[in-house]
Amino acid sequence: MLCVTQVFAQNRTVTGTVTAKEDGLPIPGVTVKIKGGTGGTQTNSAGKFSLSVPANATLEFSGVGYTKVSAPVKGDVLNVSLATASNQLGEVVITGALGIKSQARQLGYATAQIDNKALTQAKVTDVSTGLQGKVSGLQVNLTNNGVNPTTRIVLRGNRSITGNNQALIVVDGVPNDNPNYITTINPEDIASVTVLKGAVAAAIYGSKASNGVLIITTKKGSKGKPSITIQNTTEIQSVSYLPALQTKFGGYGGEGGAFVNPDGTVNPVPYENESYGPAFDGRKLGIALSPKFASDGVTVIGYDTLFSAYSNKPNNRRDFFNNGISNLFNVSYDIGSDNSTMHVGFQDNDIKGITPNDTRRQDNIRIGGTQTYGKFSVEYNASYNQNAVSQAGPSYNQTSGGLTGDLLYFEVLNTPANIPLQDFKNINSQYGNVNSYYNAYATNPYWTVANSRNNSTSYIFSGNVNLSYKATNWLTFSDRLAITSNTQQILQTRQGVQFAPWAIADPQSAGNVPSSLGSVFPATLDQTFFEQLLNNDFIANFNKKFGKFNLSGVVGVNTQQSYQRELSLEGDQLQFPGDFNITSTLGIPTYNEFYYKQRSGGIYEEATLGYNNYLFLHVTNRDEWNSVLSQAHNHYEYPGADGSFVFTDGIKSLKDNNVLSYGKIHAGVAQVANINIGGLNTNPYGAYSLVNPFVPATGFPFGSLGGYSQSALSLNPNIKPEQTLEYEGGVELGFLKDRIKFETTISHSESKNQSLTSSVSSATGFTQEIANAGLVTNDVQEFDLSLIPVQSRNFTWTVGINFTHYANKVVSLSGGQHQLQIGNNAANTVGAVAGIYAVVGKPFPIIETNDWIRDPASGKVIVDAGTGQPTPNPNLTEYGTTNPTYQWGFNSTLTYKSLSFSFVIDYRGGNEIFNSTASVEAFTGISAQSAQNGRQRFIFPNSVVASPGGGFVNNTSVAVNNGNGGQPSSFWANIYGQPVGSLFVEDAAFIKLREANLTFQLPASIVKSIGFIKKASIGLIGRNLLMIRPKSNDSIDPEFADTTGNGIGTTSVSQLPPTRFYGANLSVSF
Amino acid sequence: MKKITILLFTIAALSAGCKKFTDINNNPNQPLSVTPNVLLSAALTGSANGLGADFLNTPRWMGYWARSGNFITTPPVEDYQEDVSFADGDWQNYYNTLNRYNNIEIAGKQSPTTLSFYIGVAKTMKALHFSTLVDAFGDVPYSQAFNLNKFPNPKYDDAKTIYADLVSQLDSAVTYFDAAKAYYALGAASSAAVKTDDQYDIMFGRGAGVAPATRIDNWVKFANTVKLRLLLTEQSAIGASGVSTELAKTDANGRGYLMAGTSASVNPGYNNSSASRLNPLYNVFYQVSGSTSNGYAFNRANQYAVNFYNATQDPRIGGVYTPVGGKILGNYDGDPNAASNAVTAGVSGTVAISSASQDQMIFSDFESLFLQAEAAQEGFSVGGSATTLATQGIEQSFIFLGNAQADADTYIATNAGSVLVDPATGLQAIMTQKWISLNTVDWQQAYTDYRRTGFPVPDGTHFGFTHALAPTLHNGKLTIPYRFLYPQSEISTNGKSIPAGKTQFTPVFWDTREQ
Repeated sequence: MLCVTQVFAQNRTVTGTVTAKEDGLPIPGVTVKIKGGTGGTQTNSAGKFSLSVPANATLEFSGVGYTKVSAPVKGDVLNVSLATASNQLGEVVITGALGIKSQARQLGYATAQIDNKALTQAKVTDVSTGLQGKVSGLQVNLTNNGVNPTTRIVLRGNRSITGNNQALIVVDGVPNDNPNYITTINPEDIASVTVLKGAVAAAIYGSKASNGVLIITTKKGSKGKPSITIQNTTEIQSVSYLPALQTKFGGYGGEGGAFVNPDGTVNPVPYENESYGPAFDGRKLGIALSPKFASDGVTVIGYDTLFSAYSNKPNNRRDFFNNGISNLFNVSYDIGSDNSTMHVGFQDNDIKGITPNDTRRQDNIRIGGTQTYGKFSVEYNASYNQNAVSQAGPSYNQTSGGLTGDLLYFEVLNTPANIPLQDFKNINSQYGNVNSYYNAYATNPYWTVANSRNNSTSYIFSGNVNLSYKATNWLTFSDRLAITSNTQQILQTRQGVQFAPWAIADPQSAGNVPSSLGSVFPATLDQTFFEQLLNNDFIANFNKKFGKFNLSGVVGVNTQQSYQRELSLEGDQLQFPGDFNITSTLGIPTYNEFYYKQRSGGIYEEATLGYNNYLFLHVTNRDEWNSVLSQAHNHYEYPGADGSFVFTDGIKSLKDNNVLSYGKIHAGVAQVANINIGGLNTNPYGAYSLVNPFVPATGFPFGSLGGYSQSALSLNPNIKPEQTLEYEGGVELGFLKDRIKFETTISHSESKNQSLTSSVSSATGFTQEIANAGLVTNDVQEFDLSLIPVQSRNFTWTVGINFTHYANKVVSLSGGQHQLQIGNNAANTVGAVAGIYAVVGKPFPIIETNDWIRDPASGKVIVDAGTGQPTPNPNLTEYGTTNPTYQWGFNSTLTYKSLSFSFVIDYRGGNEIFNSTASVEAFTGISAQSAQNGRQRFIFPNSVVASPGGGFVNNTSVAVNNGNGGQPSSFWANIYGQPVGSLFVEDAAFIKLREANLTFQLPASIVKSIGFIKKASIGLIGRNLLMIRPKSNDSIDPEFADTTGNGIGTTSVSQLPPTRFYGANLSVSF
Repeated sequence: MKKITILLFTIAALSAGCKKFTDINNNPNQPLSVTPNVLLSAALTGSANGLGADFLNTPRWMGYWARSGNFITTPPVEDYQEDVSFADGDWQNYYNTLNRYNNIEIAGKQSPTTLSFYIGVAKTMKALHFSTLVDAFGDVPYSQAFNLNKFPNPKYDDAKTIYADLVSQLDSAVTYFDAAKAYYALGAASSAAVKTDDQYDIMFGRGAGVAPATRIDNWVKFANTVKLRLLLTEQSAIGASGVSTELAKTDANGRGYLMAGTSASVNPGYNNSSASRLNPLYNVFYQVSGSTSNGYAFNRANQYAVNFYNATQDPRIGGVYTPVGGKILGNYDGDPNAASNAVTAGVSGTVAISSASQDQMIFSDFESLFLQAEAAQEGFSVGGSATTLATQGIEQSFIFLGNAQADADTYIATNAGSVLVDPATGLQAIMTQKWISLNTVDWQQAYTDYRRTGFPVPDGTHFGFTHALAPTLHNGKLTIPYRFLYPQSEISTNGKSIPAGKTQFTPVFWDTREQ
């Protein structure tokens, strides 16, 4: 009967255009169906459709990522606009491992997907920065904040004690385990980032997958009219704050002679780098000398003196830093027809840093696209990235030759408060030149930024092509070949110095260290680094339905090769100023060469069995062979299984419930192996790490005399990969048609057979050995909540909250060892030292450093009954973990008509940090803390003294015998700032306003009236605008670290002060 | 069936191909095996680094160097409060060097006929360095050292037992040297091998074409001298008869000791092409460019030694210290008001540290002569009188520091009868002259001599190594520590093996002050 009805019904052809509600642009590929009928079509590249329909029909429009819309046919034309649907839980398509797209409901593990909009809302230039605070279980640390910042990306915490814990980066299906390559991708070219948080999701990637994966999918263009988008973002970077510094006392370091008055008081010493002088009194103080010569031009007949009031010069250190300016320019071009699409993106990023003369210029171009022809299709991608960085190097001061010397920030910070540092800005001026610079123990930082440069340029090409052949409608073969090639040229140069005879004669008897060197040769380090990564995957992909069952899966073969070569030459005795060519050096340059090659082959299988689209079982397995292990141990397997159950579909009584609209439970288990014997020299692959080599002994060869010794690291031919077994389970819930979404996952992992590079007694002949030992457990709970509290025609408010709790524990280490050192704050030459350790029974890493000797009964510090001074404890004390144990993220977007405001706040806490910058400040007497008692004698707070009757009593009367610095046993310089690190172990918690942005989108009506543009917006953006820290931390950003390795937890003067960014963005699409 | 065959073949081809594909793990960067001669040159250079640049706090305790007034105080040294990092680097360097000799000994024992010379050197140098470690720390890992697979946590052997074994190892070394001499003399070795061994022997050979007989005799003399040092050091523990018994064995080899003009020193060809090729002691004070380094600015002349030189009108002062403003003034180490470098003399002088390419002293002829003098003074037969030997020792010290032999004789004559100078007055003069001769040469030995003999005596005027402002008192006395603390690296890697209860005032077994 139905057929008859249709035949007799009066059919007509309806045409129309489907556009996006958001921007009014046509949407290609939308399915148009007759409700209750059988006919249907899809919109073409211009978003248009044409369909013959019966009278009074209703059409249903559905497109991936859009809310379904039904519209009755009235007349011949039916234009429809679709709203974006970010909230269709379960239907969201996730690009998972191997680039395979699947619906979220199928996944038996936790993932998160960040789209381009969320990623780039604050116009970040680095993908990892754009992920901060947005996903549970993901931690991005900005370890350094110069013009070329480094980040550390860790998913679900640290599993490996000495090995790599950073996430694997997969770009368009191609794995790359060097996380640094993430900085070479223009975030504007990224369509989405999928975070596979754990081993269960990532096991198919084999040896690099135990740390989770970031799947980055780049734009390939889209069907529709060509469009060009031009964006320009200008940002200012400014120093947020410097450490809290004292403002009352000037230079003095224990000098005798004329600096000590008969009554024992001291006079300020103009050339000191320590600030233990008398209180500021505004006196006129000569701070630098410049000679007057006799007519012969050589004989010194007197000195001009630079005078400056002996008083605090506010901001004298801060004003050394500029406001950094960066200009980010982006053009993208998208085009597509029904058979092919293409995206071209170009980015130019021109940065001037906060440090004078520091610059960076990054240019990036990427072409990506797709082409289909019948059963054949191709996806391709090529990018070229060039990054030129110039940063200040070390000073010449106190060098033992070569490119060593104090760090810039150290020299700026340690300027006494009364010194007008800016008066020395012109390094060729009367007082700014090297001979006259006021400080007898440091270099003029303005000299350093002008004359010591670390220049590096990297040229990175990467490309891949994926050829597919659809053999049948359920079977596709494809091959993906990828290459990444990186050439990096590094040239470090430091100009030489020739001190004038009058300066060498040291007229102030200051024991001037720089001028005592007489002269310093120019020095250079010339280094070339080349890396090539090749990867090929051949994949058979099937997807077949059997009644209510659906079976899909993959069988693949992977081959991979990594190759790296480095050559470097360092010359410390260049003959001519300004000529940094290595051939100009005297003596023999220091030379180095490394060559590493590693290969692996893998065969993998993956299958998903679905029942009725609500119950899924997913199994994976991978066999892998890796060249860096011995034949006996180089084959290993990675099995995994997971399942999911969408109970809101599977249980009848829960179906079509308006309150609980979506519900899924999932669970999985996987075992992955991780080869972590790399990290020797610069070898990231772990090649050649089985047999002990001999290495040239220090200094050799001496002419024609060779000399070799055993390497200090004992290698192990029987080393096996680390093994991680990870379980996870979770729930996803959607309420009120998914306006409230809640997701939680708990995971537990056990990482055994760690490849520990641990220290051994030097009496064994080695200092370190590699062994399979140790067990680390890791428990992580993740919660994500997203809400749309308001959704109306003009106003939308969305909120996302995520929370993660990390708890790892070292269960055992090599050979029953109690602890293993994995890092320290080696960057400082003075001040206290802390080590970063893995300790059995504790979370890792933790801080260990020296404390005072305390009364075991009361825990109070014991002071000497005579001197009032506490005594450092020579043994190390354990402190807290350096990895955050709690992490909150809060992000929200408010949209009112054309105006939208969004921000990201995150919190991390439960960890501690060793703030060695504060230790350096205490040592030199510039910290605010060091002046808290007015440099007078004081009773050490909360202290006890030995009681004559035994035991200890509270100290109420014995003050420290010297409350100043500059003399032996003086409290601040010798006791407080030097050996005791416990003072600088601080609560590392922080709350940061990471991103904020206010965007005004030109309304569609105005855009239309202009005609030639499609879209335009203007926005204000800010990053790191605000940071709230505990009071105890008055000097640093606790997110910083001295390393991107596992030994995080110390910060030092090798990082610059924390900064904030603010700027404006203009974007126009044609 | 055919299908299965093809499948099996494919799998076989794949796995065979895979094996070949991944078989690329051969190290192109470093050699995996080397010949013993390059181990020897590296080991001897390690010894030179140990003597020239390790235990650099000791010269301050021994009154040779003092902290400059330009630098802030260093409490662990100046207040005699050692911490566990105090000698950590030194400990590690010494074991590193010892491991090189151990590798030579292992390689040598693979073919003892052709490599007996190498075995002899390894045994001699191990005795030298292990005794220094024992003198500094007491019990140390010895019998289980250098065997990581079997003994990852090597035990600490009793110091006295180690000494006894070192003495017997030195006898054994002489046997190996004699075997080597025979091997070279018989013509069993090709002339190329003789030349090679000579070139890599950067102690007594140095590629100068030294005849094997001379070269090896020098090694035997050196081994004998090291043995004499060990015996005199442990005399309090083994008794005079123990010393005599052992010296009789030395007499039997008939080669005697290092005599005037023959010092054990190392030079692989030091030069100023880079910091790592400088003479190690020179590198403490100077840079490649020839400019002074931080070490020069920090370590200044110590007023104790300056007082001694001045009081005895000793011209050697100019060989060790560099005048400033025409005068040689020092600081007392630990002086809160230490003078700045504008007025204090530098350490280096005209001779002691004068050239990037100078030899690194391992065991000087004058130390050997003073040792023999001490032995003679104690009544042991070493083939000479105490006075003659000590006089020769003073003469050689003068010559080492650029003075003439006649200057030494004048010096002795000027101070005739002085218990600080005149060898005829006995042990105090011998030991005091040994102390001043070892200034900036072998401070670690001076520290050992001070602990075992009490010389130089702190008399409040010339010496008195008790200058700390807030020193650690020991038994009511101000005194420098008796030993070094076991280092942090051992505590964290081998903590369970470390003998318990040892403080910086636990005497080493031969130190009888507490008994």
